[in-house]
Amino acid sequence: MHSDAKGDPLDIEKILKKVEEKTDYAEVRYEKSLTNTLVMKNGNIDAVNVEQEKGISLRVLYDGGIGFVSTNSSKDTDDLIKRAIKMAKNNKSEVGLSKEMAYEDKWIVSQEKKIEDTDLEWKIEYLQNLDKRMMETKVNIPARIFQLNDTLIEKEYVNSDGAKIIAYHPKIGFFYFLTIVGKTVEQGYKQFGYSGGYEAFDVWDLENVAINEVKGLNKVANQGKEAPRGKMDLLCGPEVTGIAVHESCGHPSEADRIMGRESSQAGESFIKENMVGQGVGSEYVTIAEDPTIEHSYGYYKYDGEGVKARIKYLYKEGKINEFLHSRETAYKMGIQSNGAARASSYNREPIPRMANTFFVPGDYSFDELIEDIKFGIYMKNFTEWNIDDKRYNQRYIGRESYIIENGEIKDPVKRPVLEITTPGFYKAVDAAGNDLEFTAGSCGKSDPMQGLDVWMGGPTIRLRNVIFR
Amino acid sequence: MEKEILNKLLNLGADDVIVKITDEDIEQVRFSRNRIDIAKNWQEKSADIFVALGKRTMFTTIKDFDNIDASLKTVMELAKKANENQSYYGIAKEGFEYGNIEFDKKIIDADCKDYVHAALNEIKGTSAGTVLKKHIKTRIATPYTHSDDETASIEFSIRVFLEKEISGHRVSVATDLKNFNPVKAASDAYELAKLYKNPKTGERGKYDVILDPLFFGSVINYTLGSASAFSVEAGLSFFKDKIGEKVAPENFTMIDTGKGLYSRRFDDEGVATGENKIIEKGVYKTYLHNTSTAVKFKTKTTGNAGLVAPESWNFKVEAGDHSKDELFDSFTGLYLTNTWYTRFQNRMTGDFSTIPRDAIFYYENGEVKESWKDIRVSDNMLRLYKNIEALSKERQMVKWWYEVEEPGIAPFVLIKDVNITRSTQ
Repeated sequence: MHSDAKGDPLDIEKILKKVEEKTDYAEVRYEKSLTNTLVMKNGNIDAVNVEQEKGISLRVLYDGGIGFVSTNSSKDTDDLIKRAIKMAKNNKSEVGLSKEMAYEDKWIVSQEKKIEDTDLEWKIEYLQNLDKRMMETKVNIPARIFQLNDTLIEKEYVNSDGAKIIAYHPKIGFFYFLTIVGKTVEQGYKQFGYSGGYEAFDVWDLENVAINEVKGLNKVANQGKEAPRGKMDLLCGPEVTGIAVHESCGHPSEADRIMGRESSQAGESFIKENMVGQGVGSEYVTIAEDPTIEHSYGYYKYDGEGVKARIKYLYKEGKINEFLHSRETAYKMGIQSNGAARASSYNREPIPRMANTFFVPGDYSFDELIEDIKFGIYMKNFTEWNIDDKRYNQRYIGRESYIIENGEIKDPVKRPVLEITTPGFYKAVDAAGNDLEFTAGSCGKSDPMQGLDVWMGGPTIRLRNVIFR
Repeated sequence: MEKEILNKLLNLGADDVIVKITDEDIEQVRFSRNRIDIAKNWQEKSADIFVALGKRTMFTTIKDFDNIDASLKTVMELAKKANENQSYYGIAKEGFEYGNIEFDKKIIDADCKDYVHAALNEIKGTSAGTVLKKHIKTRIATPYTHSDDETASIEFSIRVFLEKEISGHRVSVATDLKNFNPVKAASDAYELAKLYKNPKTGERGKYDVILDPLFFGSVINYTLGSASAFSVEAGLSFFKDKIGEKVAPENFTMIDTGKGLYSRRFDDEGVATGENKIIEKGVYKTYLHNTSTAVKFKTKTTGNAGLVAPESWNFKVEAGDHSKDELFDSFTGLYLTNTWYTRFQNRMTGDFSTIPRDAIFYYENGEVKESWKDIRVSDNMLRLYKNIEALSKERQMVKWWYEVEEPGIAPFVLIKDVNITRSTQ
């Protein structure tokens, strides 16, 4: 895979051979990446950035302790091994890793319009055209930020259990941040992500989505009424469903949080180890986490510990069902890993993470969901959001939202505020649509911070009798 | 290496070049449930390079040094293809009188695990946290300057739980071991958790609040982004058009400085860093600039050039007139010790919310009346600063994970009429 590494000191199999004799377990990770980033501000290309990275890391288990070291500059592999063992000797916590099948495999994400064949001029022209199309709407958009990045990642992973995984992973990411000035100032942000090549722009339908964002926000800025308060029904669009499942199902299901390993940073979880089977929502709530969706932003075939990826049902028919595991958390709970360990780069440890989390769709059409709502809110997407560190009290504020009256969408409303507990949200769900959609995001966790590419999604879902303030 | 890269790029036809080489040696020990989970060591090198061909500009970060010549040629080829950057007005040609940075060399050899064990010996309950030490060497070369920098810092963060949801969080961060006190941080976190008894779900409404330096440091972190000239142009600043306006009471002065936990002698253009009063005696004074944004805003660079846009370095809030005890004397309202997950609904207006975590106390007439949980500060940043009533003389250097990512010195602050909300169901 990385021919320049064969025979030179970055040959990770050679390093593994050296280190496995001295430790109880060892894994070596090699990663090489090339990332191109374009930042356009108000029609001007403010930054063109190329980042080239190559490095290795070593994680070892030695006498009950874990040590992790990485470098992109030292070729002294003996020193690297020495440092890893020294790090592991810092602790004797009886840390272990679950026994897993050791796979030897290679996975490649295909591209139709290859990143390596796409030149800078084409990308700049695409962004300039997108900016032009937005301005042609005649909506007042005084501040416009676009950021486009493409990455080619080569990875090789080996461990002392015999696993050897090689991966080639091209990715595209994009976001816009828009400020629309009408009677009021409204702002819109949306992120897009895709594993593959520049066919991503067509897959995302980027131009139409961006133009609709401009028009929708303009409606809110100029015609938006004050949001109603009190008890009413709510339709959450796929973006809102997606952020809710990411924050209040995916995160609290991470086993390291549940076991306290993240508690001084991203926090713990309202879910405890013994809560599998307990109710958290209505029977219509099933939430899955699936890294194997091809071309998804969070795609992987094997996780960061060489464990084969599979779909997991975190909440099933309203009940807590399964956690997200690394080999370390699975060992602590005495079970097998379900392949959820991810590391944002070669120089970060793999820990339980989400990849693509979504509310499993139902069979309602949008018209069927809305037809018997007498009075309510349709929150198409959101602006401000947050959740507490046990993942129980969350808040979503509508970006483009509308009143629903007698089964019909009426006036736009400004920033309706839903502030609700996790069971409060999921127990109010009484129907799920068939319009599954995903949005990209950068999920933050760990120390040092590991920002990871994810998809989050779901269909339009209906909640009954929730309180807006 | 930096001079060699600089000369190669100039020879390849670049008009202006900046090369910054960073060597990092970082060690971290993480612990939870009173046990060390993992110890890590990173030894990494990076080259941040800026190239200008007329107004065509290009940035690159190289962390793969095997084919550096080929990488430089690629960068030059791309720079030729880039559009003219209308926001680019050159790099700094002056401002190169550098100060000295002092740090304690003993940090480099400090044993992180010893601090964890010493801290854990002080407390009961379960705790989690980190010790992090950094040793960073930086060298910069442009056609107009050449300099180097070396810093070291050490950080300790601990969250102590006495039972589910009963927690206190404290930090100790320093550039010398003399002022690094993880045992005191652990003991303070434990004391906070002990005081925090039987929390009940809080009530929504307007309250006077006292923010702990850890909480206030987080608020300032989400404020500093608004001070960058880039943010002002990008619709990301609630300080747009505020220069010369009174945005806080007279007792409030907030400074960005090159000296602090993350000291640096020069910015990413090689300009000497200094102290910039962003808000002085309540009046908004300056945005943070690099050479190009300074030309656009008809001012001088403030020595805050980041690789792409102006950035802040370390913050410092000037001490107030009251002792901490005086702030709490006959205080009625909420004392908030820590927060996380601050998000904006509109960055231009400053409407935001943030979620207090760990110990939350409701005070009546200077006494703790109740412990609260499950509340949210849902307000507006500009209103928050305007409603500052008093600041303490005592200040602490704070830095914590992602929430107080940029370190700084903050006092306790009393703010009037802050909007508190909670979940409805």
